[in-house]
Amino acid sequence: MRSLADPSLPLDRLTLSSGQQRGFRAAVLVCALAFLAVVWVHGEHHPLLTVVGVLVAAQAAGMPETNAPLVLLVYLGLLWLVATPDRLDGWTLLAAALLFAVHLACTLVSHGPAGLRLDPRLLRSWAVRGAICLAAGLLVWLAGRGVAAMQRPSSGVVLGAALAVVLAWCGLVALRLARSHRG
Amino acid sequence: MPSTSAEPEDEAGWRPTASLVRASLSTALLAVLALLAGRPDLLVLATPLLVHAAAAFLRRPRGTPTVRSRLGTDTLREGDGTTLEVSLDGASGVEHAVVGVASRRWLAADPPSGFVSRRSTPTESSLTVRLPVASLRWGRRPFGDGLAGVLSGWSGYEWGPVRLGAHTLTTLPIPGRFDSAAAFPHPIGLVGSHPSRRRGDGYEFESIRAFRPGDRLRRVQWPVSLRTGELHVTSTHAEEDAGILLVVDGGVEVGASGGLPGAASSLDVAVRAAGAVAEHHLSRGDRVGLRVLGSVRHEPVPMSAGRMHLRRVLGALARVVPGENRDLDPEHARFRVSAGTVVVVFSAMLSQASVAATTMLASRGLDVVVVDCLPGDLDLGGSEPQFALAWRMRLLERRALLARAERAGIPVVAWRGPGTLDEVMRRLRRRAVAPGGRR
Repeated sequence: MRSLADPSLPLDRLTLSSGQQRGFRAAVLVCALAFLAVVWVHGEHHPLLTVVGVLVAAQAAGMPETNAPLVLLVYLGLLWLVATPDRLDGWTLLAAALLFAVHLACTLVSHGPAGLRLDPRLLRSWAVRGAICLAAGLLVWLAGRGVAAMQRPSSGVVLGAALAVVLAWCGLVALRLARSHRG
Repeated sequence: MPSTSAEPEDEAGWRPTASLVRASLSTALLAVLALLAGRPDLLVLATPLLVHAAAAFLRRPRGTPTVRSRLGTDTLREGDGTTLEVSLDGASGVEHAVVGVASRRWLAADPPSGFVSRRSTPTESSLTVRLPVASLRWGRRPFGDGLAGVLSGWSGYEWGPVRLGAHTLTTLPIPGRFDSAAAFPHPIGLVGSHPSRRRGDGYEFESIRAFRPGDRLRRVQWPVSLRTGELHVTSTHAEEDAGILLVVDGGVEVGASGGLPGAASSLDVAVRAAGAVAEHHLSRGDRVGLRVLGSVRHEPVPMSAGRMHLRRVLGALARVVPGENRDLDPEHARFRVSAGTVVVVFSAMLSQASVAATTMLASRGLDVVVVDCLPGDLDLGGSEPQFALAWRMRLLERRALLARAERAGIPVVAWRGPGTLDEVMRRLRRRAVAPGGRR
């Protein structure tokens, strides 16, 4: 609900924010840095890309109500693709949890204007939702490991079906967002 | 209580939040990359975001909420509180509502930021967000203007913000403690509690005199009648009500007001003292009027009696705005005062205009009393030596003005709560009953 927030400078919003909101902003930064650390430990070392990641994370933590966190998520995803090997191990699960935590913390900061304290019941319901989302990630991770363990050759049919699903999702997203934009 | 409805800032209705846009776009990108690069680990990264986006899409609300705001009460006393209620009807699909209200001086909201939120349960079709507020000082102030917005389930869509209209909150002064045992110099009227100078039904002893036709039997004074052999009765003073005009000097305010819990300015003392005197006399059945000096929009409150009239007087006191009109011309100020009315002027006596108005009233033959409302422990808010020097000069001028008032026969008393007017009223009454006294 960024439009309810006052249109003042981000620094003003940071100053006026409640302790709870500062905690969420700190979580954005900490989780993004942890993700970068996972990439550093698990994959190749790219100092320049890591520094850029830190800067983007700082910007997202400073302006979580804007589209800066979208840039951060996309950047971290691309960094994961570039810098880490193709392995479905525990690091992948940790990275997925950290990426979702960044997104969730940004969502909770954007729930209202600077200075707002969220209802504890709302926070509890978001904790349950976060667990559901991560459980879905765990299921995909287990399925991926299961498929990898079978060591089946790549199938054009499966790839085509997956591509169709992804394209359907992209179409749904485009349709929904475009319709909402038209009002 | 009056309520106001709110209109959206724009007519866009429900819009996707930044959170939904982020989840759906990053999911789509990661999924495409996962397929193109053959990286199932990217699918694992995308899956939690995918679940969030899908759940948010499924909870897109259909209807449009309507927002109304109302105050629990629009009139309260200093230190009392009320609640601003913002109601959202047609709120099915709403999960979280946020209201932000502009803060106002002397109005303490809880929380102080003025932002409150409420989580809605899925079954609720109407949602009410409440913001408690306490008023710390008398006056009329707008309150409740701000913005309200709502979020759908899983923070997918947002609606608003809508602009909330302001309500006028009137805070009546909490009257200071006041009591008076002194009789009024010129009771006028038919009923009341002040002993009159004429004989009649009452409780205050006047004399024992010979019985006359028409005297009540219960007034017969038997011991004297038996001793003298002639029927005697006890006569009493009649009891009548009194008229009192309260004049509040609203042209000047000295000192920084700290509201109800803090220090009082001169105008705080004047308004609260006037309220206390009005409450005391109206509860005794007297007639009270009010005139505010230095106020442009202030209509005089005519002389009247009763509990409802107290509400009118306090409401008029709540509308006092200091320094609205410093160019008061006492020669043209009309005071509709009947003979016998006592005029009580509440002033810090720091302006020529208020002294001129006071002496003008006294010159018309009215009994005028000045209640000095300059607090002893005045917080002037400045510590520079020049400031202190200027204030000393101002006090010297004030001393001259007070001396001028006293030369005109106007008694000046400092406000000290109960008994403030007793000695003055006794003096005025003695003067009135003395041979050749004012009537």
